[in-house]
Amino acid sequence: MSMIGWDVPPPENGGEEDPGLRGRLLFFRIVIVGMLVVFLGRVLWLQQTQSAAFEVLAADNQLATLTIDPPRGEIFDRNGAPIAVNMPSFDVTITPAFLPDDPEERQRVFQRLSVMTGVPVTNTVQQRALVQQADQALVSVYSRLSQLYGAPVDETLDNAGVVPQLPDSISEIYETYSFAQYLPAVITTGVPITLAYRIEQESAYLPGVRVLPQPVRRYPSGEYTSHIIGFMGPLPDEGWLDLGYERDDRVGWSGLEVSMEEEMAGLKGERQIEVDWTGRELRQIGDTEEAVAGLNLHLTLDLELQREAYEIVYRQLEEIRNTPRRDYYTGETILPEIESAAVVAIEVNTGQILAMVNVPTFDNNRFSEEVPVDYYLGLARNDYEPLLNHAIAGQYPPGSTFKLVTAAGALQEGVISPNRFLDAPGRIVIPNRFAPNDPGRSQEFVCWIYQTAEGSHGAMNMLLALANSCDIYFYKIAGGFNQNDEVVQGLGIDRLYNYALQFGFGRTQGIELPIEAPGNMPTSNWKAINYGEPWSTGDDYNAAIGQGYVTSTPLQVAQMGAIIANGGFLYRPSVVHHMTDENGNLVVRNGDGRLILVLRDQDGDLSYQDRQGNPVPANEITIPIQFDQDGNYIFQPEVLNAVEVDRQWLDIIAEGMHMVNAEDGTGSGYVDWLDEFGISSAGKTGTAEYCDNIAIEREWCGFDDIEQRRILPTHAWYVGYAPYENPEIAVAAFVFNGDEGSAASAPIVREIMAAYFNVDSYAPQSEETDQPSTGEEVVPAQPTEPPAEVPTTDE
Amino acid sequence: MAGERAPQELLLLAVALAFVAVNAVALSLALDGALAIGHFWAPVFWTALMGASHWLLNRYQADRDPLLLPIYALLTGWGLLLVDRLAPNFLARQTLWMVLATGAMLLVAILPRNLRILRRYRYTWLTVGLLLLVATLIFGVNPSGAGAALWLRAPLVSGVYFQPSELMKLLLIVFLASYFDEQVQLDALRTRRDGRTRVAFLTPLLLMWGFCIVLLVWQRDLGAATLFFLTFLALLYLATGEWRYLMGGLFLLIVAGIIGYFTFGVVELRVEAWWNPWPEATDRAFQIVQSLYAIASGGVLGQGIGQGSPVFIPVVHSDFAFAAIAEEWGLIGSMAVLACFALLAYRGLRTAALCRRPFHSYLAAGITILLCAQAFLIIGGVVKILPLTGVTLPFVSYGGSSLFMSGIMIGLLLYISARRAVEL
Repeated sequence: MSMIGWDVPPPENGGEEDPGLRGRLLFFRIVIVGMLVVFLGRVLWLQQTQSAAFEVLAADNQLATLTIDPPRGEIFDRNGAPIAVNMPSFDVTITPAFLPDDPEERQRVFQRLSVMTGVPVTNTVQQRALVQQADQALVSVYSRLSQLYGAPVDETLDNAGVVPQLPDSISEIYETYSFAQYLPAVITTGVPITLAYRIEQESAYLPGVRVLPQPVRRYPSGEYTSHIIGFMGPLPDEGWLDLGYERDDRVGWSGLEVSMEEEMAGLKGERQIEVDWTGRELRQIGDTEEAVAGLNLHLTLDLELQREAYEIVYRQLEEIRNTPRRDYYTGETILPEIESAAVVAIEVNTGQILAMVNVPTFDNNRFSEEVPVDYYLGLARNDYEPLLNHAIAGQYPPGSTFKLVTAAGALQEGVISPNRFLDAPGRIVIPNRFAPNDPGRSQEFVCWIYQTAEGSHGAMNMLLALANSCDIYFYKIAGGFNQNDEVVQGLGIDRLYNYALQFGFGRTQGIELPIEAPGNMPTSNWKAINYGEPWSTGDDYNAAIGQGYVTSTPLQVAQMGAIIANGGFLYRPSVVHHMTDENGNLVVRNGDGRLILVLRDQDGDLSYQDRQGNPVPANEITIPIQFDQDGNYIFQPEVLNAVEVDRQWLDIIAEGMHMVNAEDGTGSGYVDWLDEFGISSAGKTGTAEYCDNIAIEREWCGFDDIEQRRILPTHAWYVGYAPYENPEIAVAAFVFNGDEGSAASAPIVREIMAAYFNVDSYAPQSEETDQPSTGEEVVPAQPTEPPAEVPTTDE
Repeated sequence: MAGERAPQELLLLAVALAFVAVNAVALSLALDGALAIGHFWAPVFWTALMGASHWLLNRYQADRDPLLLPIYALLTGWGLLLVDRLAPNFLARQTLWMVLATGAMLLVAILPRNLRILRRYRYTWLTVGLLLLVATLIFGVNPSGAGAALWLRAPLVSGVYFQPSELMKLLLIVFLASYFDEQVQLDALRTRRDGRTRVAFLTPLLLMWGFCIVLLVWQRDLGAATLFFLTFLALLYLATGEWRYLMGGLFLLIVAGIIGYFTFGVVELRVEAWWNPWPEATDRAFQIVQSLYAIASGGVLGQGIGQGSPVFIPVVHSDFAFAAIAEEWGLIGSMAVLACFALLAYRGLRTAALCRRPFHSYLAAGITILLCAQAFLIIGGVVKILPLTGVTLPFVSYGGSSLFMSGIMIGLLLYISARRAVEL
């Protein structure tokens, strides 16, 4: 029986099978039959006991999960005035799953909806007509191209400007969203409440059509605060869906709306409901998971001051716009183009921003529902970039205001004694390092006063140099000087860099707003890397007066003023004073990143909860929290660093700044400061020469040497603080193409200070007295730093 | 003894015929309102085939088990009705496969002189199976475009796909039956029970587990992996009688399930949809919820063929055939299907118990257990007692490979039942 000899013979007992095997087979038989009986029992149970319950669910009603959107946090200024609030608005939607299945019935619903809302049922006919009217050659080229690259044809034609794309029709929206059967697709937004009621009344005849109330963001202070608050828009990309957002949610796109999105958005809730065939809610299943409202922001901003600051800037721009100016390049007298300015007012002892002005501005209310294309394009194509918050994101050379840093570094490092007088002629010449005897290759550095009748400053010490904004003095202490027995060992760029960084230049300072620019603070190494050239004495000279490679934002300049005023502390600049929940309780962001609700009882004792309402032990709170006697939260300033400059040196600089605003100082040429009201002040002017794309387009930049100078547009700076003895507020103002800081920016600062201290409005001096241009310095730009982006003109 | 039970078989076949015929008429009336030829040609083919099978088997394998063919006939006939009802565009294809499957069944049941070829070349079969697995890993496609790539495209004929895991089920049973047959005999010869016994049985246990894990990891074929492992465990226990192997194996299965839950989205999804489908009733758990609705609306007598709405359930014609039966034939219909599998188990295992040669016992038991376990997995999934695993309901569901291999398995059972007294 075996084919192979060694095959194992069967068991001896005459082919009788393994007795255990039968038992095990029986076991399996029982298991299998047992399982089948269990299944039968399950079917019986489903059919007999569950049938009624399921039938209701299956035949008549549908389950739907609704998310509950939390109200978004609102924004108030420091006095509680509303800046961003939520208003109701009504969206008409269709839910594909609840529309009639029968195409004709569905069409009837669409037609009724179209009559009521004005949205066309379909616009393929009109669209086709438009295509036929258009240039057929272009249409075929673009259609072919879009097919090649897999882009939607209609959109491509629209973008190319060949055939405008009509707004979505109801049928298109229905087809686009039919994949998400249970999500309402928006047909039109912002319908009047009367129409909303009419549609709800007819809802029995319009299955699947719903009106959903949708909160819309309103900004009562509009264009006064639009750069700080920003605006909201649809989800920028799919990635937001992973963060728990839904397709039709709106999120912050700029300003605080985006940087504080997480805080203001709140937490979504959820509930399951049963709906009938028209999509109306019948009953709820299970518990509601309540939404958690977004946090309200209370800003450091003083809306009243902010408003006045805007008015002041507008007035001032209007005035200098109408003051004829002699064009250095052409020699003509023209009215200057003045369109852009930025102002930052900051509390010197806390870093709280009181006002932040950007001109030109925009109205963020216009973005609250959808983006109006023409308005947006107008803003986006404006050279002066109205959508950008120039106060923190605009980067300009700080000009002479930067001399404060140079002075602090030189005094602290012992480069110069404050009482030592240096000779300050109108111009100095430094020989070429490699050809000291060739006068043709030496470099000339001039002071702004060289162009005026006086021609020179004479002998200057630190206080006088600051008060008169003497360029030569700062050239010498920054870059060194060794002629005519006068020896000054310069501070040098790398030591200057160290101090500039402490003053907040060349880095972002962590304000709560997005896209804060760092500006630029060069080092010798930086130039070697970026330009492949060694750092020269001329570069030191330029850096000393905030020209050349140095750029800064208005915020950084304001912060510099605040540091001098408060005795050497760089505070983190802040626009958010504190946050509260919907009940007005304080909410803080703890050191570990958690949002903590702070509850304060009658006795002033504090207890803590996290966002879900779980108590948090006090020892986990890592940030200071203080309340005053009235139970108001006290802002907790954060020191980023203290500048490593002795108090005595800072006092000297402050005194110099005080002299700027005094009689004969550069700051007093056009401005009467607030001394008549008992408020003394200190400040520093600046006039930055700088050529950028705006200036090049308008041919403001002349690179031919006229009287040994290149002509570049000059931008006006002023930074000041008050009161001098006990400083409260620092203000920096920048006017693009404003020419002299003393004339264009100082009046703005003065007016804002007057508004802050609530003194009578300043009546500008009449311009009858034809004042010669003595008030301000114009900084010579040096041939050692050719702006790489500027083409050389052949004319 | 020859043919003495043939009348029984004929009687049962007549019952099946009556059922199919009545339902075909009902379906035609329900869907078209009249008797339409489109609903009858498939049952006619089926009737002819079953008649021929009965006649041929009577002639060549008179000693066979008389219940197997009627069970096969009833379930395949029912399957044709369901495909006509649920996915009529697949009817021609399914009928063709039914013809092929029945032909293969008859060939397997009648032709072989003995089954030595299966027993002797066990490692060849194993190798073929593994090669198929590798080929699927490399060349696998999914005819519907997306999803687990478990199919191989047939060469030469376009549009024909074959699911190798179906063939592997049979190859695996053959190999295991042969392997255990040898090992048990060797074990009986050993004078001393030592570690080698353990190794002989434990090594394949672990290998098998690893093999199923590979299936799961690479192909995400949850159903096949579970099915293979359960069948293997049953055979291992059958051969050794060791409780510990059975328990250890079940433990490994649970471990694999837990690993899968935390590693593969598909396992996690299935388990969550099983544990509580209601929160996602309109979304990821739509299928199972619709299946429960369908079953619940069946009642005792069902809605009647063509009068329920089982097509709300996605892929009802393959994975959810049982839900459609429960809806349209009600508790009676469900009971009938379950009874068919119970009878199959009873007769199959009885055949196994009566065999003289352990190889035949293992083979018959393996086939029976595999078919029943597959039915368990999918019925359990459809009624939400087990997590869903994507396997077909044997004989009933749409699916060519499955039907074809099921036919061959029934053929083997018929052969073994007819030759149970023969040694080889």
